[in-house]
Amino acid sequence: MQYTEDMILAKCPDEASKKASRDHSNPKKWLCFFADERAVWGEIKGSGKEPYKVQIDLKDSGSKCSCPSKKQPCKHQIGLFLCYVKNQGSFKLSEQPEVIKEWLNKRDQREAKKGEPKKPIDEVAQAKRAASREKKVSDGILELQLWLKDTIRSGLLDARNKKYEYFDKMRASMIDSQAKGLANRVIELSSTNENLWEETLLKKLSQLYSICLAYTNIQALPEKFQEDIKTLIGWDQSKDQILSQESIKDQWVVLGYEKENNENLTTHRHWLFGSNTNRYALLLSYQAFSQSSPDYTFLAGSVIDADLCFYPSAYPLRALVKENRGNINQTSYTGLESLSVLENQYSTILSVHPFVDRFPVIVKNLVPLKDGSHWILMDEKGKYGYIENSFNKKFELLSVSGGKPLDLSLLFDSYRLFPLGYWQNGEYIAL
Amino acid sequence: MNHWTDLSKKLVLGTDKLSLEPSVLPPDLESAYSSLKDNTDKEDLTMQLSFLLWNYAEGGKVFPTTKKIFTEAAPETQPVISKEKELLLQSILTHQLDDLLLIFLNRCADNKEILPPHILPTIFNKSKTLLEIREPVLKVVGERGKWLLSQNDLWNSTLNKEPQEIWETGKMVERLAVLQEIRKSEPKKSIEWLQLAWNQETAANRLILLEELENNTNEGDISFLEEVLKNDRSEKVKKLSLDFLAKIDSSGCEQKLYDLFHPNFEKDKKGIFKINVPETLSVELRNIGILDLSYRGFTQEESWVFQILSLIKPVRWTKKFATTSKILLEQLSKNKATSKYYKALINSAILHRDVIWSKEILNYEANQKKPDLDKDDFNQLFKQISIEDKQKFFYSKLYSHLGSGINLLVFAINCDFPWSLKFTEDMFAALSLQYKSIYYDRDSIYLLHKFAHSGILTKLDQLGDLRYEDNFNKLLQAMELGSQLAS
Repeated sequence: MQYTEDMILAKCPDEASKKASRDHSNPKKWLCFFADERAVWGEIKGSGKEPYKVQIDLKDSGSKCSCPSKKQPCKHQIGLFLCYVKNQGSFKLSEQPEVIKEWLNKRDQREAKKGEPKKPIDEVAQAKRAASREKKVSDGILELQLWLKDTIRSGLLDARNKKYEYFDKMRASMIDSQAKGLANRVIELSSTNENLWEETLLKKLSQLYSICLAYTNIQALPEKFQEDIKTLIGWDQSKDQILSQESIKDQWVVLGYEKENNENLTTHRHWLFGSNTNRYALLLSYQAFSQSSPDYTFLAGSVIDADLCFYPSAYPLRALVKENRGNINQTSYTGLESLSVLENQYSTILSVHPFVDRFPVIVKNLVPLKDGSHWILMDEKGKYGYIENSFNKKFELLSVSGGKPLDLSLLFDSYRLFPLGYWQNGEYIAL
Repeated sequence: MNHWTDLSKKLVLGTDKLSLEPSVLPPDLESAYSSLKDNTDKEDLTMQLSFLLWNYAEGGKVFPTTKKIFTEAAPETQPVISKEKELLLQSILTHQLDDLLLIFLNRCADNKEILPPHILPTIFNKSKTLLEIREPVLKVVGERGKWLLSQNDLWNSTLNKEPQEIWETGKMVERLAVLQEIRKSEPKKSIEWLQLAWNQETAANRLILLEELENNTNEGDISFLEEVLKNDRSEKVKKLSLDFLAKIDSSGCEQKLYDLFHPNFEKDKKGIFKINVPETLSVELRNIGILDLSYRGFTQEESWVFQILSLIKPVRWTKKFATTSKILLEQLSKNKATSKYYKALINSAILHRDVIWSKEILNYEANQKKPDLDKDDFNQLFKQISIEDKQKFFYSKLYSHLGSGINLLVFAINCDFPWSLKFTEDMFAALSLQYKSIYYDRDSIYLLHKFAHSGILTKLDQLGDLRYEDNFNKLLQAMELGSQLAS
């Protein structure tokens, strides 16, 4: 796997960290550094008495440092990784010290354990817990339905003018009912300020109501869609259960990576594309403030040879990595030929999963363009979609294209497009 | 208006007056409506129909179409820089080494190479604030860059505006930069520009703009400066214009001041220097531009003298009294009655860029028990002296006695000549010993990369732990990039 500076820098928790990491990428800063095919390790002088020991697993770019920094990965980890990428030739090939061997073994064991069945579950206790929760959720849903009906009776304008407390109270009630998915959707109702607010608010209200309705009639729904409804309500599916299912082996291109910080929790999203199966996947993981590193550390633009297990869904996207055999070189890809095909695909997806969130897609031959104050992606037939305002590399994309078509990976969110990366000379470049 | 939008508008005021007729839904959803029509719960029905309608509208939505023709970038005719050079450029940009960036871009322009497309937005953004790179930038962005500029009004106007247009419409920082440029090449034009804009500028801006006349001060500036001195409302502006006039011999200003004032500066019978403070400011001196300024610790009359002494060439006094600058400085500063004018002599040495006096003042200060040289004055005086004298100051450790604001780092940054390897080694060794006691200015240490000899990069062991210090590391990085650039 060929790591690039951009791929590594994308791991930095913030801009300051990028700068510090770049400073630490100078080989002269390092007391020593070594590498073999699997790992890179080195020592650097810090403010502590002893030099900090830094190690990187090249298999999945996981890393560790003995410094006390709360920021993870720290500047030493990224710095050494950058240093390795820029000066691979000056890294002495060495036998792994014991401490590195142990660390890598533990990582491998942890990886292998993910695929192993866990100890038997007390089914009676589990069923009791499930029944109790179902009761709480059902009661909560009844309460929410009444609240939603009251809200629509008073009108959208009244709902828009309601204070935050109105929504927060219902959110808290949904948390008590162990329906955190509904709780999140309730609080989203409090911030509808954009253009076409009436449509947006009505969409959110009616979606929420329909999820409640779907739950009360869940047995009548297709089996996989039942799982989607439960997930939307807030049920977590056991990772062990997911990993015990059949996995899909493929060479997965990491199309993009997103990180969202929210109070004490960081949400990591890796968007993947399987080059043999043409499937897309989302690796969603949560990292608590106290947790030193996230579940996945894949770099956008890298390709991993891995087995993935998908969460059951009418439109399966979320997955877990069952086995990761490490990074490999760039691989082939395929994509939709035009935006018309994407329209049809979206219709099909909506017909099986009307609550589908944004999803990744590869579309070939799209031209990024600036049309007055709008940014668009246009296909060969002149169809175009608007680029999300929050995408901040518009001019970089425009410059790379020069007004000519590019094969792009995107996140599609109800006809708004968010570019994740592009292919150039057969190589995928993450934006 | 489609059915979905229509329903959302109707629901703005709630369900009270809402009539859920079949026409709420499009004909395609007729069967769905008939399965729901018996629902007597109006809000439940509203919610279900809303979701159904949204889903129908969303599923049937299509992307818009345009027949507009968009331009493409023309094919490139020049080669793109190599991957190695690109990495070097990325590092220069990362570390914000703007001086190296200018060298890099000029080098590319000379080699007729262009930058890769993905870097262009960063470079264009840089050139918004870094005016000196604008010229080479236009040479290295190729056809892609020209095309990209046409898509971004801000970049386009920044890079393609005529200097005069920037001067007339730009921000202060941009205007200042073009004024600096024009001052170098066409000093006469710079005066024309200033004259045209002068009355519209604030006093603060007038002062900033006038400071640019420090470079290339010449005979052509006289009438403008005299006009400013006569009519400007700001005392600071007036004072500065008088400074410049005094620098220009052909203005006769300094000569007149000397002629009028020198009888007041004399030696008494015991050979002690004496300055007689006039009771009134003569009409002649007032006409030259001496102002009623008030300096702290000075009477009004003393302030006139201070101004006059600051403007007269210091060499006049050594000639008049047939003495040396050293003796004059010593006697003047030791005598209570004249010591307050010592600073005026420093000002005049700086104003007239007097090399001998500058060196003598620095020597004199370095030998004082309690030196009190202002950091700015040190910078200005040190600039005047020769490279040999600068090195002498370092080896004799005179820099350590120059005043509280002047540490080794400040001194090193002022050693603005190409350092030999020996000088670099010695300076770095001294810095590594004293670095921890320097509590300020540390982040400016990277500026030394402009002078330090790159040979030191192979001898970093001599620096001990200092090389791991963040700011020092940045310096080494900059030196390394500089030497890569040179090769």
